[in-house]
Parts: sequence; structure tokens; C-alpha cells
Amino acid sequence: MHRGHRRLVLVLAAAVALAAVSSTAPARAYHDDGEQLTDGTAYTLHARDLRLGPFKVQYGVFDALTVGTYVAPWVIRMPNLHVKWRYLHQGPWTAAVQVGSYRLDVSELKLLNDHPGDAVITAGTFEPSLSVRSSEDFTLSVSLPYTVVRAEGSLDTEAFEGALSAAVDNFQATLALEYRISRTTALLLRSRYLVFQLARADGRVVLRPDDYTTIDVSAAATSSALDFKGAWSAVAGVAFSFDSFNLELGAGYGNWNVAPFNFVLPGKMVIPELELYWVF
Amino acid sequence: MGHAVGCGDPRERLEKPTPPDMSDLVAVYQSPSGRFEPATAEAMLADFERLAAELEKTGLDTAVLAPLGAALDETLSAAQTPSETDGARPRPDLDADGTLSLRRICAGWGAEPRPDQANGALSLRVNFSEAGLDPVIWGDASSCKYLVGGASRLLLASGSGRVGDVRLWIGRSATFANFMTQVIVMDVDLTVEIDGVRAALRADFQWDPARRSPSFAVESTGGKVIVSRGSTGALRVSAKNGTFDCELATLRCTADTGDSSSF
Repeated sequence: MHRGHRRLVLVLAAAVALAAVSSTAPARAYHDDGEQLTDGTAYTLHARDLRLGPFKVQYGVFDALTVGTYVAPWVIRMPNLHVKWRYLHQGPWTAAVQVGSYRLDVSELKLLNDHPGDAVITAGTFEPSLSVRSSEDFTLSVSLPYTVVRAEGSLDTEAFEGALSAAVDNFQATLALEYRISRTTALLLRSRYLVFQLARADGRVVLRPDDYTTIDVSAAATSSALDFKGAWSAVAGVAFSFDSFNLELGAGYGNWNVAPFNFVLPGKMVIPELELYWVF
Repeated sequence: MGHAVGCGDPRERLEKPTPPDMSDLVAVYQSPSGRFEPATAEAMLADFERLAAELEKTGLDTAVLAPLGAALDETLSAAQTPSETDGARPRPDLDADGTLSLRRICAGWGAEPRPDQANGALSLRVNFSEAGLDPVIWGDASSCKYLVGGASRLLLASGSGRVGDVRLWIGRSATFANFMTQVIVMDVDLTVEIDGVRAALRADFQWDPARRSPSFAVESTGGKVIVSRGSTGALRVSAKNGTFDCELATLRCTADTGDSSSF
């Protein structure tokens, strides 16, 4: 593992351990006043709250600042970190912005051992969100996630050498409704609309087809082939919140959105949804 | 990355070098402005023979541009997309831009060709997009040494300062797949050294890759006509007033209407 990645893992692990040991905040997850779902909304964890789950780990640095990481990308040695800043929390209105960063060096996966090249995949997300709690039981949230996934690689062979990069830009609008029916149960409706999803690539390749000839090619291309017009999804679910344990189950229909990169798949299908975590 | 696209604008396009303008010359070959007149036919055909002989002497078409075109054609063919080979239209969801520079070392004056930098080189620049190749290819000569029939030739830049000592018009419908199968208009402004004697070489001609023979625009009544050699050896004149096949042996020309005349 790259030294920088190892350091990041250690920092995160230390933060989690420190938080778990030193946290004096009471366990809280019930759908009470002041407790809100943080996924797909503008809400953040409370200060020193630690969220642990198989999909995501987050920590409330301050009431208005949550840092976290997705677990699954670490399996493929993809360090990732996101920060959510709640900059407005006044009356029923709450606004926040979340930024995230991901990096995968494919050469570290040892997939390219036999190939004289390398490839690095990076992703960045920017997601402003706004939530309004119109009553004790009802919350409406809107967010506008923008994601750029970029892959860069190079090759150097006897026949040619070159550097290539490709990227997918994705912009979506999401709407989430939460209706609390009890202290432990809330109904959810989450919908998502793809504004655009564009792919682009550029690169430079130097070819040597024979001993006399050298050809240097530079090219850039943009494609809307991935821009699935009318892509949307809607998922109905239920969120159970207990003392510290939270479980969200849902099912819906539409174009599947691959989190955390927000890549929308073509074709509509049934979408199951599962999220579980503990808040300490 | 030489031409990385910025993250800010997903539709940003690569900046391609600006090709020289060949539109006036292309218009001459596409729409001959001169008329064929029997009275001037002999001088006109003599002009063609002189131009063809000069070109053959330089070996520019067969010894230099043909292998250069073949190398480029080979690369472009390898890069063609499946839709091109299927004859399908370009994908409407794709915007692409690119530029390609080719440098070919000349064969040299040795008994055997050698890829030696000391032999000089020719370079070409080709722009392209998702629709295929842009219509103008241009390039320069850099002390290019080669042999024609065992005799030495040297191509040098003319020093005129124009963009592209060598210019090729490949048409507006050229693709990676059909490059070097369609007629090309060439415009050269070079200095050529033949057997030690240097002279300016300013010429334009149309090259038919299938027939491997040139056509020249020569002066005639009211403008220029296009003269080429047919497969039978007869000269074909394309003029504003029709097409004429002329036999130098009999000194007769036959129009496409069937009328014939002597000169």
C-alpha cells in the first residue's frame, strides 16, 4: 500500500478508536427531535457521534461537520474520504454541502504486472443539499450531486507509447421524503433524476509502424452515449431506528445508481435498498 | 498529457492546428474555367507533357508521396472504427477531435534504403474529427534525400515561409477507411536538387491513387483546363465546354458529344 494511503488508514482508524473510547455522548438514534437521518439529507451527525456500519463509517467532528468513508472501496484498496458541512441550521431549514474524494491506483492491484503501463482512477463528488422539516413528522430534502470519475493511464511498448485519460461527468437531482409514524419507524420515499451523464476521453499516442515512420496522435472525444435520457428511480422504504441500531429497507424501480460514484446504469429495473448501521 | 481536457467543461474540444487554405486551387480542379479550342490544343498538350515530365523527374509522386501516403493509410486503416468499416454514418452521440503528425525518414542515396536521420525527412499534419479526416493535409520537407532511377534527389523547404511546403486536399468525405482511394489535389512549393542542380519546384496537380497518374491544370482559352493521361495513352482534357480525348499521334481530339476535330 502506498505510504500516503497507509497514513490515511491509520488516521481514520485512530479517529474511530478515539471516538469510540472517548465519546461521552449518549447513544441516540431514535426518531426524536434533533435526530435526523443523514443520508440524502442536509443533516449531519452530532458532535462525537460515531456511525459504524458495513457500508459506511462516519464521525461527527462538530455538530456541523461530519467526516466519513465508504467501506466497500477499501476492499479494492481505494482510499476514500467525504466531508459534510452543515452551514445552515435555522428553524425548519437546514443546508449542507458534501464533498468526497476517491483514488484507485490499478497498478497496486497487481492486475497490470504483465503490462508496461499504469492506470489511476480518481473520483470527486460535490453535493449541496437542502432539507426542510415542515412538521415534527415530515421532512423534505433536495440534493444536487455532481460527480466526476476520471481514469488516467500510460503505456510504453516497443510499438507505441502513449497516455490516455477518460472521464465520466454525472449530475443528478434527488428528492427525499421522510414521514415519521413512530419513535422507531419512518417511511421514506427517495427519487433520483439524471440531469446528464457525459463520457469524455483524451489522449496522446506515439506510433512507430516501421523504422522510417513516427506518428504522433492527439485526440479528445466527448460522448453522450451514457447520457440516458429520462433516467430516474424511485424507492420506497422504511427506516427503523432503535437505541443505537438503524436499519433501512426499501424497494423501488428505475435506473440503478451505483453509489458512491453516482454512475447511472441503462435500463430500468427493480431496485432493492439496504442500509444498516450503529450510532454510538 | 499533451492535450488534456479540463475538468470544468465536459464538452471542451481539443484545439487543432489551422490548415492552409486550398479552396482556390481546389476550385480550379473541380470546375475548369478554361475552354478547349483546337487552335490552342497543341500548346496545351505540350504544357501537360512538360509538367508531367518535370514531376516524373523529381519522383515526388511515386518515390516520396506514395510511400508517405501508404504509411499514413496503413495507420489510419488500423485506427478505423467498426462503423466506418460497416459504412455506417458517424455516431451522433460522439464529438471527437484530433490531430496527427507524421514524420517519415527519407530513403537516402545509398544502394539500399536506410532509416537514417541524416537522410532527412518529410512531415505531414492531419486533423480529424468524428466525421472522418479534415480535407487538408499539409507538411514540410527537411533535406529529404532519395533516389529516382538510381539518380540522387534532394527536397528542401522553399524558404517562402508559407504554411505547408506540401499541401494535399483529400476531399470533404475522406474517412480513416477510404483515405488514399479518392482523388487528391496536391500543391507543392519546394526546392529540388536533381543530380546536384537546384531549382524551385512550384507545382500543383491532381493525383489519382487508383491510376497512379497525375492531372495538371494548364492554361487554355479563358482560364485553365485539366489534362490527364488515360489508360490508353490518350490525353483527356476536362474543360468548361466538355471533355475531350486527344491522340497526339493523329493530332485529333474527340469530344464527349462524339464530335472530333484536328489540331
